[in-house]
Amino acid sequence: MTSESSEGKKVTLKSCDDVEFKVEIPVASRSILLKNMIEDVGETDQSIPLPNVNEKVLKKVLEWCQHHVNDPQPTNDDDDSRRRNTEIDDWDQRFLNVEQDMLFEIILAANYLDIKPLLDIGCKTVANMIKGKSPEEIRNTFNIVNDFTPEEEEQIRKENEWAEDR
Amino acid sequence: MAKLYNDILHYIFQKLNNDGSSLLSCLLVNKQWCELVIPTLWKCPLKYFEINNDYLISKRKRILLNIILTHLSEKSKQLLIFHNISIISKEELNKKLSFNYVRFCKHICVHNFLLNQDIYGGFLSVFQIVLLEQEIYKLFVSECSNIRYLDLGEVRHAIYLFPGAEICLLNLNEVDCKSCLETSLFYGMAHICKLIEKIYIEFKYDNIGLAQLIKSQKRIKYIKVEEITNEEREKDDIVKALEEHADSIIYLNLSIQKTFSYILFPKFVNLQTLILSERMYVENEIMMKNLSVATYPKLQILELEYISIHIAIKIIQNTGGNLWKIKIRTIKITHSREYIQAIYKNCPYIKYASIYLNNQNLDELEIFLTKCQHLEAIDVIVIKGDDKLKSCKFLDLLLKSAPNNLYKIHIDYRYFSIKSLKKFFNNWKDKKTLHLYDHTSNWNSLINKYNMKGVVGHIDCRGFWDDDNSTGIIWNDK
Repeated sequence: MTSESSEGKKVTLKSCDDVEFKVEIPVASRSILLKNMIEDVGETDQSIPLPNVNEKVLKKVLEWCQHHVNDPQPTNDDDDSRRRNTEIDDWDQRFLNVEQDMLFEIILAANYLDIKPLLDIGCKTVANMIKGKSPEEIRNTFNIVNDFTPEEEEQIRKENEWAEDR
Repeated sequence: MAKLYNDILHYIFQKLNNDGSSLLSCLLVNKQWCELVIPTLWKCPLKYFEINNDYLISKRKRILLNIILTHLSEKSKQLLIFHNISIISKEELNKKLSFNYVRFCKHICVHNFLLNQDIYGGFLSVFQIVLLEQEIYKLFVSECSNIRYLDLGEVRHAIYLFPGAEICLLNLNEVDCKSCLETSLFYGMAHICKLIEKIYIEFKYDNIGLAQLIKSQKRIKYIKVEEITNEEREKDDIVKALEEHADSIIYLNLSIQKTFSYILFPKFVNLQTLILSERMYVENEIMMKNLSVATYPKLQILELEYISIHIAIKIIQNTGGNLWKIKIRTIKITHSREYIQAIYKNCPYIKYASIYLNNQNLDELEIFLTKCQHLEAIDVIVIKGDDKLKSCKFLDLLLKSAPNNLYKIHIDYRYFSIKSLKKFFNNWKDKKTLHLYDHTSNWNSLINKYNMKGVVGHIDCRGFWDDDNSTGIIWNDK
């Protein structure tokens, strides 16, 4: 369905905590999952349940979709020969300047709803949080428990210390 | 707290693909992260050696080589001991590793990377080095199930005959080839590899084996050719083999010595990227004739170096309106007005463009800015002439006609007075923050000195073309 033919038409999305959102089809279609569903089902008054996304996160994801409604759709070309964008633009940076929990929820929702550009910038944001940190600092940042014995950790470090490029 | 799935974590680690230290930190966070990071870190270990500290690099390469040698089969280890190849102690050689790391490697580079003079210190004979190389190749070929890149120029062994070659080389995607190599190597590879999409050729002589390797592929999409010959090549088997793939080739990067087979140009009808560079500026009639009749309806990126602007105009006129990037570097500047016209008449989606300016074609700049509404960046080369560029008029035209998306300008700062710049920046305030570039980062000091932050902002003024979010092809993608 093209954005031109679907302009003005709306679809209702229902979050896992039963909150409904009426959304213009081109905005919802930023999600490949929803785009395919809408194309398969056609026009319907029934709401589309999204059992993996709560109201708060869905609202946030739809804000992103609204802002990027006119962006070109990413192609299905999985050609990894092409260089990917490396920058996160200013608006997206501000958009993802949220609590860590919310950031992870957005990433999970982008993955579930198949919104590749949002998944991409979400993952880049997490990668930027990791950059330059020691293992201990990373564990503290993401609240991760170290399950290596000191000997295991030391052996793996030694086997991979050639990668230390700083 | 929400928990990220393994596939998302893997995606995050890929974003750190160029940062060995951060990946090493991730590796040591916990067991789950460790198992997810290893495939990324070991995909192409050599990519983490691109720093300028020879001593440190040699030290780290030795550590890596030792780890790789520890993976060798018992038979290979015995062979090394038997031939007194003692670059690693017996104790280390027999150490038990935490993982089989080499099975994750997708890029093989043994001779030029692992076994150069710095590493073995000159204490191994040629025979010992060749033997060591052979055993390392055997290891990679038997353990790696999915090699993606191989530099055939450094392969001195019949690796296609090693146990596991049929699996290891089946999905080979990219090769570097030299046309002067043994034909038997190419024939052997052609027997196994059918899925090569990217091929770099150092083209000196014809090579029927290389032609066979090219012909055997299902779909070659990207070719990069460096011509190092002055001879006529049109009837060569390699040229004929490339011609068979003309429809599938979408990327051509050609460094011309003198006489590439220009007859190929009109046949690459599906090109999306065309990069041509000459070693010396020439206006070659045959090249001109063939490029003039070539049509590239899908062309998106055009880069020309030392090629006449007249040829650039012809190419631009024969595209289908999809060009978004045009980079031209040349020394003989003619037809600058027609060149600007060719862009605004044929490239409605242009984002990045080189333009050549003088006082005589400033009026064309105004039309260019008005018509090219997707323009994000201009690379301005001022044509040296009798008059000094009317820089105030240039700045006024930018203020009056620049499209909303324009924010990057590459121009020598010396054409402008501080007074005119201050006035310009003052009036630019409501538009996108400008990024200014020149060859020596002089804009940067100017921005700081005159407190132009907010209007003009960029940390590093270099790299105008590098920073274009382009979807350019990466060769030897590590």
